[in-house]
Amino acid sequence: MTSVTESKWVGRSIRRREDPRLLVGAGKYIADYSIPGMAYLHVVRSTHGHARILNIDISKAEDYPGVVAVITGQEVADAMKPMLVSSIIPNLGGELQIPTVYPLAIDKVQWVGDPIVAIIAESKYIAEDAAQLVEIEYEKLPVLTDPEEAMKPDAPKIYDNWKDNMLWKGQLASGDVDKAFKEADYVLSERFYGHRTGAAPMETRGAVASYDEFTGLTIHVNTQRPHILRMAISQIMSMPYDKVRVIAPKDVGGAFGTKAPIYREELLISYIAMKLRRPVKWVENRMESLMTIGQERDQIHYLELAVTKEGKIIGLRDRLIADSGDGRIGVYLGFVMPWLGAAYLSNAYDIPNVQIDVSCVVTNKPSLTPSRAFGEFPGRFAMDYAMHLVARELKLDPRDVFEKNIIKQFPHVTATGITHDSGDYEGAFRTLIEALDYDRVRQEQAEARKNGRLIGVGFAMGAEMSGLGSQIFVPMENQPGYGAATVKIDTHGMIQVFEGDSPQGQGHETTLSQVVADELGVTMDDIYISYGDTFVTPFASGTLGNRGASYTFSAAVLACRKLRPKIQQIAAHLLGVESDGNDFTFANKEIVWKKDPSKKIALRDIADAAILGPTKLPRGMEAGLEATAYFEADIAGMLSIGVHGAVVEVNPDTGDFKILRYVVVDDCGVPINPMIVRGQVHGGVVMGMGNARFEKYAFDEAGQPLSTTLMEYHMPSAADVPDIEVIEYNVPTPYTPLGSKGKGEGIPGPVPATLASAITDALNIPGFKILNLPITPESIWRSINEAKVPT
Amino acid sequence: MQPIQEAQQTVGNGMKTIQVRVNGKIAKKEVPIRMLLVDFIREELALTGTHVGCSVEGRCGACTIVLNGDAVKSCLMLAVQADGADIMTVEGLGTTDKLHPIQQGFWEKHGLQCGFCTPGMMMSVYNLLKTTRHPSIDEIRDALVGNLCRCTGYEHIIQAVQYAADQVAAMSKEERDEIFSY
Amino acid sequence: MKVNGTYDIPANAITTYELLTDPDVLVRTMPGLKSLKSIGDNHYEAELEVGISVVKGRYKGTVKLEDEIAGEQFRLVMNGQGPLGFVEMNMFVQLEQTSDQQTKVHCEGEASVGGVVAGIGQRMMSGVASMLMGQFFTAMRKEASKAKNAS
Repeated sequence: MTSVTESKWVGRSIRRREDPRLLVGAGKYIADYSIPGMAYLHVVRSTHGHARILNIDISKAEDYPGVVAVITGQEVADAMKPMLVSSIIPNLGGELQIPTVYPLAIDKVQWVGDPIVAIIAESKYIAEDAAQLVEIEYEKLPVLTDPEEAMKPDAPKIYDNWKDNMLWKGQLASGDVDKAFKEADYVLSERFYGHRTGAAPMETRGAVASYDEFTGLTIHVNTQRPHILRMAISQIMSMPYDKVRVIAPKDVGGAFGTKAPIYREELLISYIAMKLRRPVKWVENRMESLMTIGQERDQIHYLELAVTKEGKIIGLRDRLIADSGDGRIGVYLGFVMPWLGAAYLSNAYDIPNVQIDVSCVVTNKPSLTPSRAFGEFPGRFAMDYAMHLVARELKLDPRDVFEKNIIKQFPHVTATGITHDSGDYEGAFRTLIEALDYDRVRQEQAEARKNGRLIGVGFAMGAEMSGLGSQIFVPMENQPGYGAATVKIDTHGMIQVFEGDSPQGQGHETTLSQVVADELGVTMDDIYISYGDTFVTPFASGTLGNRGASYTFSAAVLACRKLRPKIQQIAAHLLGVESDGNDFTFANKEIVWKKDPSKKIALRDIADAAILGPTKLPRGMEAGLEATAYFEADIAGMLSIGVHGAVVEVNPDTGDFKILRYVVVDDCGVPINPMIVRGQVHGGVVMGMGNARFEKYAFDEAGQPLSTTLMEYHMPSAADVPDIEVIEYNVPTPYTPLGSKGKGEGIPGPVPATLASAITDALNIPGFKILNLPITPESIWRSINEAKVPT
Repeated sequence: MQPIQEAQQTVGNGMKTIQVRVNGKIAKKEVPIRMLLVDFIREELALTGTHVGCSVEGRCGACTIVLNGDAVKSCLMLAVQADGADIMTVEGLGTTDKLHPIQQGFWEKHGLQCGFCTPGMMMSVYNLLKTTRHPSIDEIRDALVGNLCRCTGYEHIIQAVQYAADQVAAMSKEERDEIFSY
Repeated sequence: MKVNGTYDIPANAITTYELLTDPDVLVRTMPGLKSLKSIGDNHYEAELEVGISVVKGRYKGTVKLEDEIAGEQFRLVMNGQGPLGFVEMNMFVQLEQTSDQQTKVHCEGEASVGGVVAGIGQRMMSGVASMLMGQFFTAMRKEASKAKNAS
């Protein structure tokens, strides 16, 4: 499938085309949108973790000057279907109980932050004032914050009409697990916990909705997947598809998964704009954001590994319990992340016998929402750190244990059904070991110990999804996995590319231009990219899960390749030469006949003939120069490997540690723009460090969130993180036209096991283990003291 | 601190006329006395390059501006407190035709991804480079603690600042004075 | 959140009990309590002002006395609801007279806060609670001395 075209642009670290506007403050984010006559929405939210609503008094708020409307739950519910319609519910087998949810709570609240009342006012200040005048009377109900408590048969039920608190329960299994455990020389068995943490992009959610009876609803919203949202709004609100237009802004301030679900506020603001026949704007404040979105991870793993004395893992058993929160978001329902985390649990290792039982439990917290390293973060920690513990127990070098288990043959299908397409995981791993100068670090470690300094080295791997093909995506999210793009040559010979995804900082305007420039022999300046508007772009699932460089860009390449024969036929006709439609080169905005390079014609002249002067076309040829292509890889799954290593120094008296080196060896197939890939790796590692060390969505026993400001939810600043070394180890995949794969999504995954294993190595205390995230000086200090107490 | 108290007590009706110079231009407007400076800049002056990332906590730094020569967070001030002030926002830093070395550095070194934190980040860098000719990596990291970035992991931002610092160091005093006139 | 403490009041148990259960005295002594209006037997409508710096707010709620045995014990059940959240307290108070002029007041209870106040201030809350209790009993001691001087 791979074919070579001249590569002038792909592979180069070109400055981004989107940057000039962003650097002069001319980016247009959702908060920068305004429409004449616009009113402002503020949402009044629950202050209780679990309660019945006895009464809502909105009279004072309604009377407040400047208030346009005050809306409560029943009214909104009467105008639409329950939000979780079938097209945004996964179909993953197992046992699923589906919560009923409308945009606003009606008679019961399930978590602190559950939306209850919508205030619409002439200004956001007035809306916030009026919100203070709403009086809500509650009757408290028992609050569940611990999933293992919520699973107990006598636990109070969160949803009255459910049989228990189990949102989803299922099993991923293959091979003879019992036999593997019987034959094992050693069984490791531990409970690992990866706490509730996640993304928190710098820009919160927001939307501007307007409605008129002729064009219908137009909603500008900083979503990652405008087409899916359009479909959902149309179905939930029973509106004709042509009367719903979703537009994602050109500039979105980061998302990392948090802007992928279908949220209640999106339906709410749509309803309000329709009801009031007035544009309405909503921008989530930071406190709402920290109370509502970006909360991921939160998994307990009862992990068991069956191992031979040589360190080969022959069996894996896991009982995964996820705290799904209320589970009331579209597409993901708070359980798709743990499900994928289970499917990817065996990571980059060849483990033939696997059984994973997954229980996703509802609690009185906001639903889990996707965050970069989708569902994988706790599992990567458990799995890769467990391999280091195995090495210690068997007195083996962890390097050898990893090498023994790394997948070596491709394609490889894991016991959980994940297809690894291609790559050289072993080579990437060895490159990391070399880059760390592993043997020398061991010597230095011994030297340092003599001087009382505790230095340790650790590593972990992450095979991250590179988009998900339809074979996985259709059951997982009820959506196609293909990439979609339209390439259109305009009257001036410039090239307009339309993608159905919608980026949030990934740099598609640059990288997509690089790809298309090579295919059509033009410069990047001849290309302009359109995305975000569902009335213009081809249907696609959105910018998420590393789909860009793997699926969407491949679609753009295919669209170009659809156009090339026609362009060559027109060129031959205009030049008066004989051609089979494949004997021209595309370079310097010209189409050049290979047999006689003096015969050439400008792309602009071809566009002129095809669009403005169709009489010049060969007889019978259809006018126009555009093509849409859908790319589906000829394999069930593509993944790309990253190997992380760290050298740390630990202070055993305080538990504090310093990262002396952090190295990543990374494969993204063919990098379209290596500088952008490096940026993704840096950002992913630092998010992983934040998640592993500093960030935690904490709750008290009454379900009150304790991390509702960025002071409490501590994302790392520049001074909190070390330099990150990145080494490219790229192996082109044969399954995409350019050999490119996606990169960025899964990068945080290997961070906690890398740090935990380095810390454990530094301390060198028998029995010392890190079983819980986050890894803080306090948690290390406690583990040191527990390990020192003989049991 | 007293004006904050007074402003809060007259919620909803108090107005005051203020005059500021923003990016070299005088602006005179009547504003509600409780209006935040960041809202004044974004909504009254339509300078939307200054962003809001954390709703009046002062933690994220996306709203950082240069006010009377200092980098300040415009969500932590009322517009009326800025009466008489000389302000620079990102829109005053440079133009696409003539980027400021800081902007150039961020562009060359890929110091931004989503770009949301970037204007505020550059204002803090402005403050640093105005006073420090050759900042070390640690000095750069320290100077940026008040500005959060979720995309870049800071690595390329550090490189961008180093690039800008080199450009500035190579300039004559007059050129430097011109691009650090706030 | 647990709220515990033992405080000395310079009065006998009966006087102490009367002071602690007298709505007029409570309004004077309890930090943040603005008014108490009787709406039934030992049941009052209350207006409170509580909070920490930026999240200070006015709360409306009720105060109820239960399980009361004059001179020995009572239970104070308070709740307040305001724009920034809610506060609730359920405290059992036992009196132990140590001399004619001295009574030990043992307080043991649970308090909870929710909403913005909890999100921002939870970590400070237990410190704040013991500070408020301290202020309350300091004021109460003054009331006791006043009562003694008056009698």
